[in-house]
Amino acid sequence: MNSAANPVVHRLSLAQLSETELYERLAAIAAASESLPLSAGSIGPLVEIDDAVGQDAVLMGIMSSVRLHVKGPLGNYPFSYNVGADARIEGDVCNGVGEGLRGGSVRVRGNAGLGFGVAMRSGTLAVYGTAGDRVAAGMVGGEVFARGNVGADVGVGARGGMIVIGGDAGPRLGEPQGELIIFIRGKVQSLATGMCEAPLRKRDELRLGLLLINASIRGDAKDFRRIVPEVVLEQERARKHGEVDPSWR
Amino acid sequence: MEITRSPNRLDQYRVRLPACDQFVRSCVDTKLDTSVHLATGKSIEFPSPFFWFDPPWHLVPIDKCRIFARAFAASGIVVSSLHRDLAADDENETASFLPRLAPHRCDRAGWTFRDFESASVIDLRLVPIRDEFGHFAYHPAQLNRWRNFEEDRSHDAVNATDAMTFPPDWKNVDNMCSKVGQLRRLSDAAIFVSIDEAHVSLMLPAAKTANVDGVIIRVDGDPLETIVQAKQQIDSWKRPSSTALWVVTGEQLSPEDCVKCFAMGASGLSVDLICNDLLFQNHLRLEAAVNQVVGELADSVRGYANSCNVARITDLRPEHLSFV
Repeated sequence: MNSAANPVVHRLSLAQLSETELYERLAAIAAASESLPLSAGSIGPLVEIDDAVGQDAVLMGIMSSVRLHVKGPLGNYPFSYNVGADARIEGDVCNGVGEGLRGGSVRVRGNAGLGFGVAMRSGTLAVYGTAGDRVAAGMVGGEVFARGNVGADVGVGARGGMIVIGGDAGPRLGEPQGELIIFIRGKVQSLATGMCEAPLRKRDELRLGLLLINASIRGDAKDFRRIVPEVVLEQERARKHGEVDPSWR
Repeated sequence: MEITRSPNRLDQYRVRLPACDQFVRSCVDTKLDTSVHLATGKSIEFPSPFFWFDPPWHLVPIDKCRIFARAFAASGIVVSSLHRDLAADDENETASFLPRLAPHRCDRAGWTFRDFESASVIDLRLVPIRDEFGHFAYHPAQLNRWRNFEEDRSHDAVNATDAMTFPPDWKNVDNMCSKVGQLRRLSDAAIFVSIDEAHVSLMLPAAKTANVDGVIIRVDGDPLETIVQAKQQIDSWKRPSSTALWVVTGEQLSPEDCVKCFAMGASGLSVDLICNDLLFQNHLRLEAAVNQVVGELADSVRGYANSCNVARITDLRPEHLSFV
């Protein structure tokens, strides 16, 4: 379907191109795409990245609006500080994937290591397998999805954003000092001090449902529970009128 | 591991007097400039061996921060700052803050992509710094300074927030290698790692494997023992060009003590106490005040080094000191 909208599929090799050459080619492809009529170029050109064999620190700092399809595993820190790229990876990834992500998306059809989405600011990160410890540590904004289980200290140091976990979570889930919201479907080994389980609100169901569709994760939003800082829950309860009792009635 | 040291090792040394039995013609002037040789083959020149490791930017108004950063940079001091510390989103303005040391903290707090582009040195800051209450935490004002640019900023931070003391994406210090590789790919800056004196024996081997361009060691008391220990390890790496060794001292060293530290192997020394004092004073002419204070320090250090008859500060060696 994508190739119908963008008939040209570009192929670049991590083995054959130097880092600089790779970025220049991506920028050129994106620039050429922008000159196309809107109907053809609006979703960004598709670039297939070959020869991924677990390289560290590749495809970072990309500001071009391109769709990347990486066939194979990648090492540490891929897609760090990207802005506009939408990436799909067929394989496992190691630590620090999407560090400082500023926009766009990264979808990993495999497992991820430690610090998945560390310090990300915006955009969407999704892992369709499991993720290691400290997912979204120091996160500022954006959304992180993990279809499978996640490790310990998920969201530690996060100041904002949203984490959706389809499987189970390890110990000390959440961060009480920020505004991070977590939705989880599976079991939680333990919550971080100052975090609590809260009922799913109607607006959360709606938002979560849309996010799940956007991240191509199957499931009903009602199956998830909400994990928030106790302070946030107290503030919600202190409000005189809730969402089912609006003040304008 | 606790380091046992004599209380005043620096006092046990003095800058050696010239030979009294032969004529020695002195150098006209000793140059204070230093250079850091990168593993990539390039080198970065610094006009002086002094740096400001941890300026409390968040405690003073931002306009004053910019003036200070510019004044210290102009006087040759390497100033530690992030773009968001100075709220400098203008490229031309940022250039005037160079040479700049950008702290890449464990949790990347305050870090933006632009810090990769304009820093002279990226400091992989593994040394946790306590706040005034002893916590490893960020001051609310510091967080708000960094968050000024956040699009989704909803409200100001009112409480201190815990700072991470180890990178969340690392399993152990062996991961330093790939982290340094990432920083090298994203920046042309020199990559340093900053550690505490207590962690020298643990972290320096990892720093060697990671092939960092320099090491910054924070020392609370007398720095001489740590400098000697670290310098011995760095020299044993047998690299074509020596890895830089910068030292952050808990108290401001006298010019003579600075020369002793350079002679024993330090290639950079912090001047945080001098700079912080200036930052909190009200001067009508900030640039002049900075130039005077920094100039006096530089002149005195140059004088002591000149008495050792070396053309450059980097030519100082332990032989230029005598044990008393």
